[in-house]
Amino acid sequence: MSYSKTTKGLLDAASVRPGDRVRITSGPVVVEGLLLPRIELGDTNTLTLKLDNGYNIGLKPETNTTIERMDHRQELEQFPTRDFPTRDDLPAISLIATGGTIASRVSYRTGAVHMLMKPEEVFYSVPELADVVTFRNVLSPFTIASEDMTFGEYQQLAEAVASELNDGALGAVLTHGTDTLHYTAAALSFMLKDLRKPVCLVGAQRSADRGSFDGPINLICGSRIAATSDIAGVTLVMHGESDDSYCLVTRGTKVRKLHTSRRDAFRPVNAPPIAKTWPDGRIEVLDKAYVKRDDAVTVTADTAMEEKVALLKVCPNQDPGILHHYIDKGFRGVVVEATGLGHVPTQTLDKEKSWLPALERARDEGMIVCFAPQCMYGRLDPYVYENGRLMLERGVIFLEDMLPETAYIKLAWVLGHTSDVAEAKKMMLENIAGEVSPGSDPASFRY
Amino acid sequence: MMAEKTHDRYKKLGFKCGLEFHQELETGKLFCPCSSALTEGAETRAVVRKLRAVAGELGEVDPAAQYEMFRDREFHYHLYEGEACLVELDEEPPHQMNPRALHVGLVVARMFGLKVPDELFVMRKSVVDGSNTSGFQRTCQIGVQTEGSVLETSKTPVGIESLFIEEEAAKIDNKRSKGRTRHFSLSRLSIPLVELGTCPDIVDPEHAREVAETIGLMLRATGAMKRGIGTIRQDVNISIFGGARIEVKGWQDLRSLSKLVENETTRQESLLKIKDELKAAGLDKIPGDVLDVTETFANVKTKFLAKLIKDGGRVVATRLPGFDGRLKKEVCTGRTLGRELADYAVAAGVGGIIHSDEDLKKYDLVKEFTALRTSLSASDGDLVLIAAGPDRIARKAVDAVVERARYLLVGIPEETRAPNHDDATTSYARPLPGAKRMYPETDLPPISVTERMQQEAEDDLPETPIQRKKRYLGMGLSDDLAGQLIRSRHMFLFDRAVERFDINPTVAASILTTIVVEVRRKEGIDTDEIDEEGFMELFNLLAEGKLAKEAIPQALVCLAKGEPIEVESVSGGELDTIVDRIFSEKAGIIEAKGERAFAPLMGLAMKEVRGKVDGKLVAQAIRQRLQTALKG
Repeated sequence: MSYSKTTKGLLDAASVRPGDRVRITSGPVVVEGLLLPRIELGDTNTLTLKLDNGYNIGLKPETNTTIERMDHRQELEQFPTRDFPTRDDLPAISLIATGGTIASRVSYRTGAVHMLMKPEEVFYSVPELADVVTFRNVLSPFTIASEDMTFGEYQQLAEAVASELNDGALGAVLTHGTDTLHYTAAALSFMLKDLRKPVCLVGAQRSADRGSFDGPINLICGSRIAATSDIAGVTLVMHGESDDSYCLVTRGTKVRKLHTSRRDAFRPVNAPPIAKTWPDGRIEVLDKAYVKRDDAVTVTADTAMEEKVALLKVCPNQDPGILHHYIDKGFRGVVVEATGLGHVPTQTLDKEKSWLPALERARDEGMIVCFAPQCMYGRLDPYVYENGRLMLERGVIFLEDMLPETAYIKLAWVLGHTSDVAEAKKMMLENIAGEVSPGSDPASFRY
Repeated sequence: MMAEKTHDRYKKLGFKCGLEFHQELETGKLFCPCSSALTEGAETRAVVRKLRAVAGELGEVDPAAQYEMFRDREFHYHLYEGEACLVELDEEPPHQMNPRALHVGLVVARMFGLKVPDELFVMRKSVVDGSNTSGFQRTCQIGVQTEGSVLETSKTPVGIESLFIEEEAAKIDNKRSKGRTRHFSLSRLSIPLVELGTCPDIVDPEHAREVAETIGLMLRATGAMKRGIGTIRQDVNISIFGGARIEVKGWQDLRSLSKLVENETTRQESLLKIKDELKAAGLDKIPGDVLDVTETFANVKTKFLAKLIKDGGRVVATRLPGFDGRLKKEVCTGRTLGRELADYAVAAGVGGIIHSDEDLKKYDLVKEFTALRTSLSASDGDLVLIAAGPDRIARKAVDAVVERARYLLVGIPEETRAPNHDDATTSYARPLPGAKRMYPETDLPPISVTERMQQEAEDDLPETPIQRKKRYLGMGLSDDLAGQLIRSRHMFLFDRAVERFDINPTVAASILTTIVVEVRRKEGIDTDEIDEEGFMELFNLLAEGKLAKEAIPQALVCLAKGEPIEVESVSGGELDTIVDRIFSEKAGIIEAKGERAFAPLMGLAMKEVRGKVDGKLVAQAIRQRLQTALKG
């Protein structure tokens, strides 16, 4: 974004460019300050100035306004960095940075949070990490917001993690944006075959530019789990409560972002957390049934994914035409977030709104339809109501208590591995990465 | 003459002083729908957090911010019903700025002749002392100085430099806070504040008070300000020739502001004198070797020291060469140089220091300090001091004292000081923060100030205190009463009362000012409990002649207790009966004195009905009855 033509003309005439120190005189008002680039929002005629007291103000040039340049451009975009020393006395893990709030800073240009922070800048924010672990390798294969992730990035990450772990890292920590962190966690859970070391995903809900940055505790706890714990597998390590006290270690396939902004937004669903962990290294195991570390085992990145899969939420009055659309477009599988125990509209008074014909067509044309609970919490059951039985007859797979997001990622991964519908259906019901809880723990609801 | 002298003294010193006047608004919170009532009723939950130093917009970490981080604290935030939500908890982005608060801000900008920028930017000011859950305070400049932004005062015009609207910080709970742990209530966090900054045009301490009072009165004229203790705070910037800028933060008592300014000026003056004395004594270096002397104190009798050591604390000492006797010196009323240096140790996290200029017998430490002199190789002219606490903190504390002692040779360090409200002196609080601790609040878009918003502010410009006082004088109020009324929380109520009821403005004004105060003092009753409805009921009774002037205090007591106004009163018929009785009993007086019998008769009647019926009605009844009697 830049200034409007008129305002730019005024600036050009005075040989002033953003970053210069200027004096603006407009009637009885005389102000001096640093001219800032125009931010994305607001009126592009209005000049943005940083005054000497640190405040920014906007002034609209009027006919009597004069602009003088007082001094030349000052370099604004600098961020302190800190090299990370390698220490032989500390456990060595690898850090893979991908972007997101945990690696973000304020941009004065856009006035928005910027996601271009280098790993060295993360270390600057969390210097005490240097006393906890040593990073044998720091990678940043790409820097994007989590909402911009695609399967391609999951594949890159899985390859990178496998290579680091097989090269000797005791574990891996991945920094990641939080919006879709749970999708990445699920993807890595399926892709990393024979994973017997910890792979911890961490993010932050408050950016690094503020004193209340929540990333450090997550990063420290995540690094400790990756370096020294025996909790193998893909886990998410983030704030357990609004306090800066402990983090929860949750299974990558059983976790979801359940709040838009709170620090403790990530909660385990249909499973207890594996453990609570404190920045000082304490670990309290809550669910002993986790895969134990075995550093001798080699991990494989098995990353094939099918692109033609979709996640669809069913709701009252929804036109079943949406399912026809996916069939028309050649989709190979759809996860439907079904209502209640696993239902979609079937006996609607308006026959056009029934999903039965669309589901029959999906079955006949070989498109896999899986149901996952829209309720998120709890398990599907096709036998309680007639609606469920009608679904079974139409080949729908009921994914028990699997999270819809996990189911979506799993379906893409399964269809990346087989073109046989029966085989795919079988795989969808197999518990590959802890995505299905065999029993339902009463303590796991709204933990 | 006296004033002249004061003025000269401050002129000679190169006295420079400006105020930052902070006033809370009664408009609801600035960035969420929570209440700004600050009642702190039921506690709903508490959250424990940490804060970190961060890099600012230009990259550097602010030294002030860094300093606070190293203090390694834990913050407990307490939430009270209806007065804090996820926004205060730093768990949700701020909502758009409260339009009512913004409007008041625009009105204030106009009142002081400031230019409102065409676009407003909410900024984040780094604050990592825990008083903001986010680690920053949201603040926005809404007024820029123009040629016309000047406050007229009795001495010299004072320029108004800037106006900000910002969020109030969370209030620390000192009782609960201990060691590294600080407790805050979130009820005050994010209550809107206007901050008005003056140019350093203030000429002497009394002038500072006048400026503050004038600004306060003008702000209150908007009718949107909170009242009561703590709703107004002043930061005072003071410097003298050869010194540096000192910011005293958070002075609340307007009346003693001049005392504060005077004490702080004297302190700076004394420090410069001490510098000269040290130079004259040939002191140019302070070594500052710090020694762990815990062993020397192994058998100490002083209880708090013994306990500290038993708990694993260390005693750390140093010597200040040539400083013997100097720490006794007063820098201003009631504050010694020793106390001044101890403040830096306290800020580093220990309880204080003990030094050889103190009465060591009092601490039962004579023996230990004698031994200390030997281990520190201190000569007679040297001062020795100790601090005790956890190793790192005790060392930090002694280092801080040494650092400060060294600066005595240089002059006055730039710093932020906290006022001591009991004696109007100041203590070291933290280094002065720089301008770099500001960066844009990225969660909020800039606010375009539209012509309509400006017009609404113009339409809402209140009567200034000067105009208001003039109007009150015109209503027949005395100068004193008019002056009291414009300072009163009830001035708007007064305007509404005299418009609604046919009452004597002087009576109404007295009730709302002097009489209320008198009742509070005499009866020990909280007259602040009386709401507008209560006062209006009282005025109504007065207007209808149903309440005697004399019964007003009693009526106020009823109102303050939340009871209906019940004062003994004498009805018209009862009054006639009483007057009839008096006339028949005292027929002799009427015969003897004729018309002059009025006064004694009135006296007798009033003796019986005082406070129960308006004296005017009594006089009227007696006069009528007397005329009838005399005619008869």
